[in-house]
Amino acid sequence: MSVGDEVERVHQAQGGDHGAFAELVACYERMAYNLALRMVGDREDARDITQAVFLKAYRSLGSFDPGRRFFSWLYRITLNECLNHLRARRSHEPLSERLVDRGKQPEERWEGRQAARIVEEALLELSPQNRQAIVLRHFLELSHQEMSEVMGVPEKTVKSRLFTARRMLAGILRRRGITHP
Amino acid sequence: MNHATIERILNDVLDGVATPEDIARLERLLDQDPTARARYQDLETVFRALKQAGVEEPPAGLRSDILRAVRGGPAPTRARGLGFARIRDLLWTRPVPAFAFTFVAGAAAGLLAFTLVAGTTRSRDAGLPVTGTMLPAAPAGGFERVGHLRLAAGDAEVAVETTRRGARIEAAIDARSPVPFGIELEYDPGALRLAGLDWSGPQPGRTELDPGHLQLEPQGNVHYRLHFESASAEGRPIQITIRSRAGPVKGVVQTGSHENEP
Repeated sequence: MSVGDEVERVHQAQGGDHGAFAELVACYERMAYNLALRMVGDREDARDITQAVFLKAYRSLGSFDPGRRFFSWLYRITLNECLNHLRARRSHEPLSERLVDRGKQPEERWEGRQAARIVEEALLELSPQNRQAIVLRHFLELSHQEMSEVMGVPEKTVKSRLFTARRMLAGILRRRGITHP
Repeated sequence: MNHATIERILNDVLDGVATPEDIARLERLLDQDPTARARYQDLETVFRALKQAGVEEPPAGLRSDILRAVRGGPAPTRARGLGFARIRDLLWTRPVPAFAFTFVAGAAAGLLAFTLVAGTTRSRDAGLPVTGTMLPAAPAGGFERVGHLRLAAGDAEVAVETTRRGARIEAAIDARSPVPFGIELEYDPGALRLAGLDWSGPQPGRTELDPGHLQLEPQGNVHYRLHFESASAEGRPIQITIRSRAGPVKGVVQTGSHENEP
């Protein structure tokens, strides 16, 4: 969807056009779901968060600033939902229990899938701030400039967080047996 | 080469944002330095592992669930526009002269009568059709220019001029852009009170007003005039930000007796 089309769809959706909003959902559903999935590490939670994000976005469309990019606004809502979810979860469920449970799933017999799971689990060991940097760059393929916009920090800080996150991730992966071939 | 530089180059190369010079430097480094080579391999492992994890398709039915919930829920909340009722509420409920609202309402009624009698006219300086004001096109006698500012970001351009007479301050804003963009004004609401706002141009776009914060979203070329009242003889700055696709650009315009530097 071009920027012009996006602006038009947002404008139509602000007027209550469900069809226009459906097009925006189709365009950004994958992004929101993957961001939520990598941030919270649970598919059911990611699904719930994605649904909540779009509902919140729809209801708040009136306050959306058309001078800004819709995608940045949506990323920001998604990140906030994820961080709220993580804060709420921290109070009643230790992260390690989730990881142990997830490790027992049968599809882990498949080697490639297991490697992917190790990465998912390794991501959850990072702080939300560092995890956010990795997810935006490596999964959602945002440029440093776009990340700066979404995260609300200068590009220099974005790069610094990425360096730190990758260094930590390298250590975690090494401990979990994933090394350079 | 220090550690921070090596780290930056390693990350930039794997990230695909390194310059050809950095790539050449890294190649030489990897040939000579086993520690840097090990670090490169560690990072490369991270990049590869993250790529392997990949993105996932959202679960089937998620989109339809979202749309069902949207259809069943409330409509989008409308922004608080600067409509008649909003202006009235904002101006009437403050400990300031309620005449401001009466003045604006009177001006609007006068304009309607004027338009009916004289038809549409054109502003001398801006060349824009005048459709929204009975106020004078230029500051009335006795007003002194106290500040000016020009900001540009991409196709969006804003020129601001502030004038003052006693406690009355006027800010004239010329906004020009082929596409919608945003202008934000931030000021100390304890020192400056917005008593009125009018505009001329094809469509003023959305306008939001909160104490100390005014957001304008002009569409096309719009000329705004803002009427402030100052609580003191001292000037207080108004911070102006324009937001366009080219990113935000900020500036400050003065409202006191010392004009800001161009």
